[in-house]
Amino acid sequence: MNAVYVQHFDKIKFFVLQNNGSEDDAKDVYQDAFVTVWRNIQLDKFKPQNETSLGGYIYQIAKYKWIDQLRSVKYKKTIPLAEANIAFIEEETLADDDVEYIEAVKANYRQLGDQCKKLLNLFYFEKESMREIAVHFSWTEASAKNNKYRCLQKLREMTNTKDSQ
Amino acid sequence: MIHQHDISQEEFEQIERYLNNEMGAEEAAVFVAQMITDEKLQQKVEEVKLLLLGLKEAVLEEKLNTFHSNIKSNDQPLSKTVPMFPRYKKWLIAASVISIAFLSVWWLVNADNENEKLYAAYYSPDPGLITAMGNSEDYSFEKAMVDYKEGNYKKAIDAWSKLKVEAPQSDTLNYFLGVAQLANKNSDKAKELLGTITANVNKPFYKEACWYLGLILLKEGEKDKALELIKRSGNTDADKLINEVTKK
Repeated sequence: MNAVYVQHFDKIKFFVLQNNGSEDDAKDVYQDAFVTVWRNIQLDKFKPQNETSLGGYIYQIAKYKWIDQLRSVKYKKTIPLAEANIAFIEEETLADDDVEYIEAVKANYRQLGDQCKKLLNLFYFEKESMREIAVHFSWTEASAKNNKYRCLQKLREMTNTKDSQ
Repeated sequence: MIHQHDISQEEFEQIERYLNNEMGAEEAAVFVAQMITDEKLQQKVEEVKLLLLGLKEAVLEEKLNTFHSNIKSNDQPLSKTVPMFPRYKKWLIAASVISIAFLSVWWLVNADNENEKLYAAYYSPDPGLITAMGNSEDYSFEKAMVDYKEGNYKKAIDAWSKLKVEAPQSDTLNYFLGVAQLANKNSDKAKELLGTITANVNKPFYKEACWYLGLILLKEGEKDKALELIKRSGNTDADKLINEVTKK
């Protein structure tokens, strides 16, 4: 994933720099697009056929996000783009409530303890098995599973409490 | 949405297996049937799906800055990457600009054909991509990009053609091979390559390819097809060019 990230940044940087943006703007818009693309893949909204179609899709999303930002108040007077009038591609497939819920989960994840974060990171990102994770923390496999459940429960509770407020 | 049902560890693991397609066909069928009748279970599945999506996104977001630092370490500071060419090669670019200008004038003076005049007036080579020359995987691609930007179209075409053998479907390659062929005055090859991009609106470089293919067809007198492509290109000069063509 790191390689994919690195590979497709240049083209977006070029586009943003050509269109009133800074390198930091390029980074922000690219990271935002990268997460959106990842979400759409998870939701089966986009199925990459190969590296090229993935790259093209990231580029397209990032480009539209930047155009959208240029349209916003901050840049309103300076839209230099020929593309400024293209129809925005449909980007969000989730209901507003669901998006809000996901954002709350993300904020709460950052509040979790280090051990939970490490465990969830190993399981969901590094794709380690429960057995490997158990070895990592010197636990039994059963307690690794219990701990994973506890961390997820914690995350749920934090999110659901905020949700009902 | 209400997220208040208790979910036991066993149930959580079952839902996760369902979401990850890790159930056998039989177990999945039973689970789906259960979901249809049990609204509570449906809500639980929906909640776990969103919870895991948010969780994975949060983990991913934490990684992004690390990913980004891998770009920085490969790259030069911004102020150095903005000039797209090494300084000592500036004379080369100056020379190619002069020769392009010369060629354009030559076209304007000699072209006995209105369409060719328009082509010459509106055509300028694609500026190419910024090259960082850091990532070893892309090295040959980027080296050819430098050749292309210096006007060594033949060299760039040779290098990219070799890469195309390995990745015949690559849109990036097809596009840049196309514009390089065009810059090298091989309209027929350019047409074929750019045509693979303009066939699908979702492809990268779609608009750029429409512009160049439109210009080629205009030069060849295929006015209707050309205008359609030029319109789709959204190029900053598109409207002006369309006006010039249609007022005749």
